[in-house]
Amino acid sequence: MRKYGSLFLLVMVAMIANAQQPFEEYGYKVKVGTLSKGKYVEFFDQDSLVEIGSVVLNTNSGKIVYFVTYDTTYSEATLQPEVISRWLSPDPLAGERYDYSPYNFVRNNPIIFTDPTGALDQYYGIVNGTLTYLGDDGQGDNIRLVAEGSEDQAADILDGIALSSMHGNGASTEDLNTLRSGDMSTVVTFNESNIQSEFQDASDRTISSGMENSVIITLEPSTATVDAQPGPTGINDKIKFSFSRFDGGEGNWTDGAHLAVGAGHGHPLTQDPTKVNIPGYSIDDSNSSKGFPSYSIDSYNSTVGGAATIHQASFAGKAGRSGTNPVGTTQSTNNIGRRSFLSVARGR
Amino acid sequence: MKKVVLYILLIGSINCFAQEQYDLAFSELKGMLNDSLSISFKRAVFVTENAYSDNQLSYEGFNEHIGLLTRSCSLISKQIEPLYNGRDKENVKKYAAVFKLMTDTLKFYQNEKDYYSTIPYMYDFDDFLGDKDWRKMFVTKLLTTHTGNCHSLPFLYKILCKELDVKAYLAMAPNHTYIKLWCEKMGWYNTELTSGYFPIDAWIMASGYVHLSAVQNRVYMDTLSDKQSIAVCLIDLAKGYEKKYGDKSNYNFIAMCCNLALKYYPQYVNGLLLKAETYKKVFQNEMVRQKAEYPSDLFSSPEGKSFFDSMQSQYVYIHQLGYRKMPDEMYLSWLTELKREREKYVNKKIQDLNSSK
Repeated sequence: MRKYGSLFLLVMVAMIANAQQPFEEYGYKVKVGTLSKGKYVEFFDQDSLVEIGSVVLNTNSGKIVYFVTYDTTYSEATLQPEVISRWLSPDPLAGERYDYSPYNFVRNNPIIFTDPTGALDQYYGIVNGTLTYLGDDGQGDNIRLVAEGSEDQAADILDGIALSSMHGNGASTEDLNTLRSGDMSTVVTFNESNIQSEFQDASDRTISSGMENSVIITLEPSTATVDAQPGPTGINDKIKFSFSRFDGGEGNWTDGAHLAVGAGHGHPLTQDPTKVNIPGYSIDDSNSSKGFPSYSIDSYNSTVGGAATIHQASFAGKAGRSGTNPVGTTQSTNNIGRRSFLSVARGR
Repeated sequence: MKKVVLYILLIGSINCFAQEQYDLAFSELKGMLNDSLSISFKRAVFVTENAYSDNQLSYEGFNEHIGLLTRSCSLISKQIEPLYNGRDKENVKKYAAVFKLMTDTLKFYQNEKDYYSTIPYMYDFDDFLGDKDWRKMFVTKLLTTHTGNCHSLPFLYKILCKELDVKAYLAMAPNHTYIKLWCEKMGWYNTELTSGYFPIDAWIMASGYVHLSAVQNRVYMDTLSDKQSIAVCLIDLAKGYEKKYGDKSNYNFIAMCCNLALKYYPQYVNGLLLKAETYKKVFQNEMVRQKAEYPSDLFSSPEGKSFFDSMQSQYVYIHQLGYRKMPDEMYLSWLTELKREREKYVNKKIQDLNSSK
């Protein structure tokens, strides 16, 4: 039925193309007088098949040939909002994903792929050239970084994992084991206790100097270890430094071996109304944390995570955890390293 | 034919449900058609829209609004002094007054300081076919929003002319309705309220894809009598019913509306199409019910065969009358043109003001 439908459509299109030149099929191209100078179709063809309502009728036999099944047709004139998000032209990079339709968006899987630049889609996570974060490997709570050069292979396996979680079949056990093998990926380890003590150290330095002191949460790519180290010192109400970030953002803090995945700084007790080092986090803190985890420490007494609370301005730079729900009440719930790494890697 | 009706009844009765408002509207329109009630196009339009709106509209309010517009038109017609000097000059002045009220911005001074003003009724480019919201077709919507389409605008013109005691006739074109008027010196002429101009017949034929047979058979471009105008409302009633209830529609009711309307306006192509399409839906539902793959699977029963034949002959008749589906290409370019036109109509200044606040 559908086959005839499209055949009919073809015939129709051919007819319309000649509509204003009724004698063309007999080899004559003549001047045709019209009322609208060709603006409107004014020629009624003599085709024996006509569409009336939702049936196609043979006008010679007076019989219904078939019922028209309306497929939704898309054109720029009839686009509805719900289909506007479809591409109208092929992806110039379609060759890179030749097993998908050139009109696809993120390989039809917006759950695990993302495409913020409009170039090639990528795993929901950040690529910085050498490392790809691929999320949970489905085995316990492990987070893995894929080793350099094996991104494509890992991507295929993860595709299977995503499929299996959705449809119940996909990646085989062997595939998963390959992904988890030491050659291909590394489990990310978080040195949370050292991170906690570096935060304590930054807070102590802030208390003794009265100046904002910082701590930087770092990722060591070769061992996939998230750790912390002391950062620069600022002035009473401000500290300004930037990083060579895990996500490839620009910055000037780097020791060559590490990538920053987050930062913290102390707020000294001096609560001068003109200063911005208020308890909790300031507007500046919020703004600077856009796209990057930023923590502020109330450096008023000696124990970080206890009485001296650590606040996180959220990744989006607006409301964060503060007040009754700060991140740093006890060490076991801090997990600042893990928290920072995931929010950078997931981009949220 | 009796068998066919029975067939519809059988299938239709499955979906019977409360539709009191529609029954009331139907019987009122039926009364107007069979002369047991006096014909009022205004009332017919109202009951049609009220049925769709679950009896939430007030006829008093509607009447009051029409009354105000009518008084405004009388005021305008007293002010107009046309060059036209036929014996029916007074009528022409009224036609002009209604046109002016609907297409112009006017101020009515009660004294030197106090006045009220009216703004023109514009074309509503959004969903002008009523696909998303059938109420876009309504005169009540036109009155409240001052925007309407090629259905509600000529309807209002006709209603106002009737109130002013002059004759205005609806005329049909493919997917379109416009107004035909007559005056002594010029004869018949067309009034187009969607754009506020006066197209000649040739333009309507060319731009509307009107087949010559359709003109010969009085399908398009002919004036509608009072009863035919009521029949148009009756088909509107059925269409609104179908829009409102979708698959749950009682097809028997729709067929009943169509049959009655076609009795008084046999060449009304929208009514013929609605009837044929309703038959087709009933037939397809029956196919689904009997798990038939092809229509011919139902031909083993005489009812099925005669029902299909009846439906088929309706489509043949529609074609013979001169109905031709507008070529897709033409329809699309017409749509795009409408979108472009919209740019012209939207008042950019007001739009900018709104967006900057």
